[in-house]
Amino acid sequence: MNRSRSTNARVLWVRFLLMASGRNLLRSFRRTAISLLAIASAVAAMIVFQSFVNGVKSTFRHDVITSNYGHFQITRHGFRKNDSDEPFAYQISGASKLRERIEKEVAPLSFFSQRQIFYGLLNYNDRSLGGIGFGIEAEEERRFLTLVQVEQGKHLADGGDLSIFVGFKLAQKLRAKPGDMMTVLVTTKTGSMNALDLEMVGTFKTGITQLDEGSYFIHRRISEQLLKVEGAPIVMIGFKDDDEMKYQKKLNQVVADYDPTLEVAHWRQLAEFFDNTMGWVEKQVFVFRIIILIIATISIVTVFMMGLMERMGEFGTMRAIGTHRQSIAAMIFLESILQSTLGSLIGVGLGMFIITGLLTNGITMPPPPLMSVPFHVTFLIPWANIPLTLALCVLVAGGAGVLPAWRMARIRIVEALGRNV
Amino acid sequence: MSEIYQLNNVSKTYMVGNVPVDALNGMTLSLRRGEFAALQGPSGSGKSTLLNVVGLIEKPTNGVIRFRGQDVTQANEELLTDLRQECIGFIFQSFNLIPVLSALENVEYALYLEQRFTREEVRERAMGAVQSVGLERFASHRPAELSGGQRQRVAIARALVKKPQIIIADEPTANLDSKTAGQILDLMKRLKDELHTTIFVATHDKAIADMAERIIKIKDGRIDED
Repeated sequence: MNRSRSTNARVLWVRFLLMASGRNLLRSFRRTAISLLAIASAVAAMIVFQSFVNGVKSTFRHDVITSNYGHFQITRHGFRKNDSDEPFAYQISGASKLRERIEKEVAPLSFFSQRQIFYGLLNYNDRSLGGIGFGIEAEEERRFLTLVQVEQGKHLADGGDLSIFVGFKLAQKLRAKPGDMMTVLVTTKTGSMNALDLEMVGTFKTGITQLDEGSYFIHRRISEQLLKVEGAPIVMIGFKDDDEMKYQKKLNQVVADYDPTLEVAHWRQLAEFFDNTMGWVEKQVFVFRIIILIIATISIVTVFMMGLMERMGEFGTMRAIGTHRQSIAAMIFLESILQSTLGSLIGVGLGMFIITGLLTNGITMPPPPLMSVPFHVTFLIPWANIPLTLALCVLVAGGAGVLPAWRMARIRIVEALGRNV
Repeated sequence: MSEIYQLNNVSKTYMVGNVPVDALNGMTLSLRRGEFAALQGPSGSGKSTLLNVVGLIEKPTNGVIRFRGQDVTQANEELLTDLRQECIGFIFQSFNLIPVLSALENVEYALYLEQRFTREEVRERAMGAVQSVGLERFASHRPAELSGGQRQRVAIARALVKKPQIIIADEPTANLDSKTAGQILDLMKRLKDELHTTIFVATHDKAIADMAERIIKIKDGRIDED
């Protein structure tokens, strides 16, 4: 027999096995439906969970960026390591030229703001509390840092020069209300003390405990006068395009070229808690996935094995009339793969339906670590994860057929024939 | 007539719990090409075990089996499967058809197994076998849609389509009425005469015994009368 004839005969045999496998799946509708449901539920659960993680990540990312970080921050080398020792040695002046270059050479910006950061004592009536002060460009920050919500009174951008905007919990501790006058006491660049009376125009709430409990904002130009400095140590930027990662490399080049003493930090480098929190969530989902896969695999193997045990007599007949063990195993494995593929595809559809039909409005979660306000999660279809989830489930559910296939291929023919009635 | 099978001092012992049970007890037997041999014996005499050993689906505990002169006693599973596939046809008491395949596909199955025929050859040979057992009108029917006699005809077509050197049948008429059993017997005899296939059949059916050229009676795992 020539080679191509032999190959064709083998292909015919595989096609025949495939046809028989397909018919066997349809043979016991209820049992196949149970297996398909187990696989589909596992796939749907994994897709919904991944969409939840994506939603958490997206919302959390947005909140972090718009609370206090922007997409990137530009500082002088050493500022982040030494700022407490020499707080005013890293000032950046004339940053408007830097903005022009970034917009011209990298991408259009929706946010560019300099920030002064300092430690100061807030005094109201007989109460004094320390806090982190920020000298900000109020109008610019109000547009971009949308998580900073006015809790009482009005935003700093709507106040006069001598205004202060205080974290709502800090204001509560001071027992101050909008319209009250308070004093900010700081150490200046030269080491002397300086104080300024400011009107508290409002309180803010970000949901980030650290900010709400211990920080306040004043106009940057006032902070320059108060601290006796020029410029500010931090330049915060936000791109119009929210996919900021694609600009990072070019931004680094442009900033280094503009002034080699400057460095760029991505918001994730600054907000380490983001990666910690997401790592925590993803680990949980990973464990959940493993549990789902184990449960689904056990269910599939059990149901599949029950079906095969009922067909044991058939396998005995097949073996008796000359079917090789590997062909029996292949036929069962094909059934398993067909079933897992079909179940997984149904699961993708089911997952999509749950995300787009039942969870359209998202869910509200309790505050995550380091935050104080509930957190609304919108479920996002995990397009990038679907092929992997599909492949994983086809593989695992298909793989669940390996043991039954192996067992049935090794049955004692005489014993199996005895099952034919 | 040359010998197709030689069994020399073959024994088969099963363990029932911890108790050894001798199903075949030093049996020596030859089967010749083209002969129609009936195997008879009371229940528990070792008929089915002997058929399984001759059909190469069970290995003996002791003794030697030669098939076409080749010692297959210690042959591996692959070789035994190949021999069953190419040389041995089985007809079972319960027909043992594959329920998800039509009558024609059940017959085709035996040919696809060999992986040496084209699609057209498979279809042509299988259809020929189905016609030879008079079931062409029922070729597309599944086993559940056929009567007992029709199912056994399909099983015969499946056994014969590959032109085996021996057909091993275990009570092939036991589940059939006498008229259908008669038809099945005529069919087996006719096909045996046309194809010169050895037929080795275990039966309690007197009609089969009357038709057989040789009757082998066994008792307690030994040949009682030949």
